[in-house]
Amino acid sequence: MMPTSSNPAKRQAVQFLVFKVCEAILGIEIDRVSQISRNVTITGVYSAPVHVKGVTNLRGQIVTVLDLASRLGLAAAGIAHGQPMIVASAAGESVGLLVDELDDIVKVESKAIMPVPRHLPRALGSMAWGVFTSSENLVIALDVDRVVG
Amino acid sequence: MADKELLALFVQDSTELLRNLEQDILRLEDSSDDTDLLGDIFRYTHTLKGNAGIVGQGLISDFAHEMEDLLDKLRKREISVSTQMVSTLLSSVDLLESMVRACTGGAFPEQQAEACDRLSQAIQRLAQGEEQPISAEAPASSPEKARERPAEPRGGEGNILQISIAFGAGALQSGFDPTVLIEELSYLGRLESVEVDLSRLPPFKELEPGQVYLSWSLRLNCPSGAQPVRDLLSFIPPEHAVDVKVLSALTEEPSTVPSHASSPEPAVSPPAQVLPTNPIQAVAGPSVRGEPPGSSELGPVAAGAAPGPAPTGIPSSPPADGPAPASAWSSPPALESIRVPVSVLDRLMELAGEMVLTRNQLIQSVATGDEALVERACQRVDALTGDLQDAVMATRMQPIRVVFDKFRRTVRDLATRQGKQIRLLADDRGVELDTTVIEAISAPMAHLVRNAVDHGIEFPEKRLEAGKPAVGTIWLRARHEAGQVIVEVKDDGTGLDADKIRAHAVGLGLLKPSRSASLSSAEIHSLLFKPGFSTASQVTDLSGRGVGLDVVHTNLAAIGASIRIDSSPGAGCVFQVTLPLTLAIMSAILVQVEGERFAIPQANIKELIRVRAQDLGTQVIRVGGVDVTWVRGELVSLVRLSDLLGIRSPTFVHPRSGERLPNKRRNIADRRGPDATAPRTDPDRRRMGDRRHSRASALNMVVLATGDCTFALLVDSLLDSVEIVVKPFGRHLRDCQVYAGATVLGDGHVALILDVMGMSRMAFVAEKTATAAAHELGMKSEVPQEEDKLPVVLMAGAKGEVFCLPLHQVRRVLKVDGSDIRTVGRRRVLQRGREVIPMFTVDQVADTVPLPPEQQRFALVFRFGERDMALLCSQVMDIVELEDDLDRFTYRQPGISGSLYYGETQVLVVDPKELVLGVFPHWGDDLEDAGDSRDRPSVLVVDDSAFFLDHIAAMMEEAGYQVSRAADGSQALGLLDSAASPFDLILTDIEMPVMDGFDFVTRLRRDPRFQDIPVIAITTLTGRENLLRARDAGIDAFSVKLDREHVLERCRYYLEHGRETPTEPRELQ
Repeated sequence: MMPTSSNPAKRQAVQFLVFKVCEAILGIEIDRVSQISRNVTITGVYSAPVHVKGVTNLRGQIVTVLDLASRLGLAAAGIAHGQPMIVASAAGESVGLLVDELDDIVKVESKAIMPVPRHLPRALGSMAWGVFTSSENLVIALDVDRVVG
Repeated sequence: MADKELLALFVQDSTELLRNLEQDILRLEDSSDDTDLLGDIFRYTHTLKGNAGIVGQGLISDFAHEMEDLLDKLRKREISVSTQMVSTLLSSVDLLESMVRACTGGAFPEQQAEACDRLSQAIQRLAQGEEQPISAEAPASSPEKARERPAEPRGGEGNILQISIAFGAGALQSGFDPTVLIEELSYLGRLESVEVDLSRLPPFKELEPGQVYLSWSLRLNCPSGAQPVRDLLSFIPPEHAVDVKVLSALTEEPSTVPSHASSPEPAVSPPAQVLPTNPIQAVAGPSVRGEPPGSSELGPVAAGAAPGPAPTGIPSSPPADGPAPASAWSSPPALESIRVPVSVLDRLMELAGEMVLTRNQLIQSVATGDEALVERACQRVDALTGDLQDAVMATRMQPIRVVFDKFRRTVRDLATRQGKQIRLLADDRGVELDTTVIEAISAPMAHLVRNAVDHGIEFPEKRLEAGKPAVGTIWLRARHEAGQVIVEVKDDGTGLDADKIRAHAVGLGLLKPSRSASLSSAEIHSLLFKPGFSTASQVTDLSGRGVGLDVVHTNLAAIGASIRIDSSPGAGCVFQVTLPLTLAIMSAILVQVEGERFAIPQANIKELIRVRAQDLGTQVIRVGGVDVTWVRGELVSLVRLSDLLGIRSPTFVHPRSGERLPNKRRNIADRRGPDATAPRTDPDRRRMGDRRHSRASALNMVVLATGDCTFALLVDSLLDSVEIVVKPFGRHLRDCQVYAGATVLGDGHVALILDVMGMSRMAFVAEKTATAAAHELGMKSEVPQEEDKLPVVLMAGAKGEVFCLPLHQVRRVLKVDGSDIRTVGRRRVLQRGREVIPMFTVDQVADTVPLPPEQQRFALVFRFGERDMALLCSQVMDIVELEDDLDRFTYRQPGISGSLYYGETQVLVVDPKELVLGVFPHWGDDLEDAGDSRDRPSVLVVDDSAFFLDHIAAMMEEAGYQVSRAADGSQALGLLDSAASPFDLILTDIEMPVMDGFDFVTRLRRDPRFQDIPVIAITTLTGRENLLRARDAGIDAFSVKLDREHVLERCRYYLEHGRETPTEPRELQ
């Protein structure tokens, strides 16, 4: 399950932003993250797809906010106050991803990134492109394009 | 400069030149003596020729040269302007335009070269003073020959000219390029020799690359004499030394100029074209064949009328001039660059500078903490932002004149072709619109103008007969009005023929004959916007080709514009279009629902209505499962915004406690607590502060209009009117058709912008129902006996199967989303909050194509006994009235009572009761129990329409009543008199023959036996007057005919409570 274009695995080392969603430890490449916000005011959008939590105003731009837990099929968590939002860019659009907890920024050698194990839940498995270990935790590297797309 | 850039610049420049040229040529027809105008036209052509030479577009410069020859003669009064000439010149402009456009598109199509040849020959002949315009057939000479123009045909016996050119050193700076001049001279004849004088050339060190040091002396063999050369050189300012000497004048006879090779043989032209007998034919004939097909209006004619002549291969002209195929409407070519006046840019720069200064002030004052300074800086920022917004907007503004100008040509061409005499008067009042708006309105406006020519203005004879001047007038007017721009297309033609429209609409099946008589003129006019409508009795080139006013309408609606028609028969017709100034920033009203704010574009808002809670009963009526309300005498459907948004459990804020509580009312018109129309049993209620009388309990309705669909939107509260900046949604939300985008409000929060078109589409079922219901109601009083039709809801099953359910059985329509469906064993239910509705598909019982779960998108909710049940379908198609000729044989099976025809389509009529019993047979027991109870109440139904009598009787029987029927008041009195036991209840119509409802009830009440029977009027009559009259007669309640629930609820109430004593006057709602 490797993303076809601009394969980050080809690079020597990749920096990841590591965070938690519903007990799962996940990472996305840091160069896809444009900012991290807390205390975002989200305007709910009725009749939107389930995993869309709403929209928010990010310096004058309207950004769609996705509930990552629901997007990954982990759970449909409600928004907790002060829940961090990662703003990632994909296909020319910035999208906010709500996560439970931010962890760290880690640097991972490309060769240390392993293929995605088969036993992951389906939605999560289809949006991951690799796994690696960081401080004795197994981190699942998400493919931002697929998460957002 | 790179070639490509140069070419792009050339295209942009030439396009503008050609536009000016076209306008001037059009003006030429009216003022052929205007020397300045002719000079302008000549100069434009000349500049174009020069420019084309620079970028190496030989064909264009050759062709422009031909035109120049002709124009030159015009200028010198050697020949005079004729209509024919103007047409040819216009065609030439078209050709040039398509040639210019072809520049960037690579290869030059061969057909175009042919068209070019034919046209240039036509021009040449015109230049010789021949009136007969264009040779009909392809020229006898080969195209190549004709294009080698300067050398061959004119070479032989010319005048030898000696031309010396010595430009001043600064010539290049002022835009004169000697090489271009030499090239141009070469077009006038054959250059025999060119000598360059290098004497002024300085040493290399002193050489300034931007200066001209060279001078030339040329020998030109010019067949047409020295004059053209002198004319050409007349452009050159006197500071440059340019001189022409005639060395040998072999001939001064211009008539020998054309070569025989390119002159057409008159015998080739069919006589019909020489002698114009029929004006249309005469003009259309030659233009079909001879004009370049670039004026693509001619395309379809050529295809139909003249199969023989040369293929018409030039890409079509811009959509505004073309026959406007539906696809061309939607995608005008995207604009890559626009011209902005330097003054506007200067203003922008100035504002940006001020902005920087103010920012510095702001930073400084924040740092020092000086509040007064901060405040002042803020005010400054506020003002500056406003100015900046205006200035930026100004860069995008284009004069509407651009659009108007285009139509001169359209009108002229069309009028000429049809043999009409039309003048176009345009008054733009300097109105400017955003580029995007200008682009969006061109095509719709063009259609309106063509319509005016085609259908509006009559033929001269007819006009004279009608006592009008032979020349018709079309006015184009633009003006500002209340922050919007109004554009009018007015003609002094026939006006709209209401009877014709009516008859046509009936013929097309858009209108029922019975309805047609009662339509208001506005309603008749709105028929014009229905798809597929065209009143032109004969199909002409443009209008009446399937692209009708409906497209105009939709296109305008898409940019938030609206259209209105005013017509006075015989005197003309006005189409009035109201446009927003820009699409990027708009005025909107903020509304609130469930604590969220939404913006509604002001352009779509007709009015805001506040209904006091206690007036709800009379203002909002439930008809056929939807809520409708009266807005200025019209019945419109009322849609709850929270329903459109799919909010499952609506809440309301308690006016006193401020708490948000669940709202239990399912229907808007449902009353809270005891019915509002019921007698007030507890006199203390009001004193104790009924919620209904609180200010905050009032309902707010926003009446919205988009296209011909008007509906009222129910919101919790109205907040404010704001200017909003529209921001598009990200991709995840593009499918939500309720929204047009989002905007950021002053407090930084996001508000969603509602898309009125989208909402109206979503609410279409409701709208249709309301309309159908309104029709039912309307029909009743007009033609009582005619209606034998059954209103049904059409729904799609799988694989093209179509089912229907009688409209009166459908209580509401729900949009189903996968997460609503719960499955327990064979039972599947639809869960909405606490509401659980068992659901079915037709294929569970009947032998039909199974409906896959992903297609189970809509549910029609019907009543089964005391419960709601839902029937799933993939799409609710429409609400229509079908002839009631049920085929009970072919498709009869459990769950399907038979089939009907809808046009050619077979529609299976679903029997919901059988369907339910087919799945759960034991559920029938409950029904039986209810039905079998011994003492069923007896009801007398009085109605003169057999249809409604049956309908209401069936409804009452289904609800467990014993029903007797009467067709009018006197019959009813007879029945009452002879009945063994008195009726428990009377339901009566008001408008009946023989004895109407008021009369009937008045007489009824005179008889002491019947004084206590509750009487419910089932009628369409509303209004205080009727209510008062009804009360005086002794009618206890009013109910609208198709509102099943309301009728049954009223019946139950009166059976339980009996009549109230007439002595206590009830407060009328």
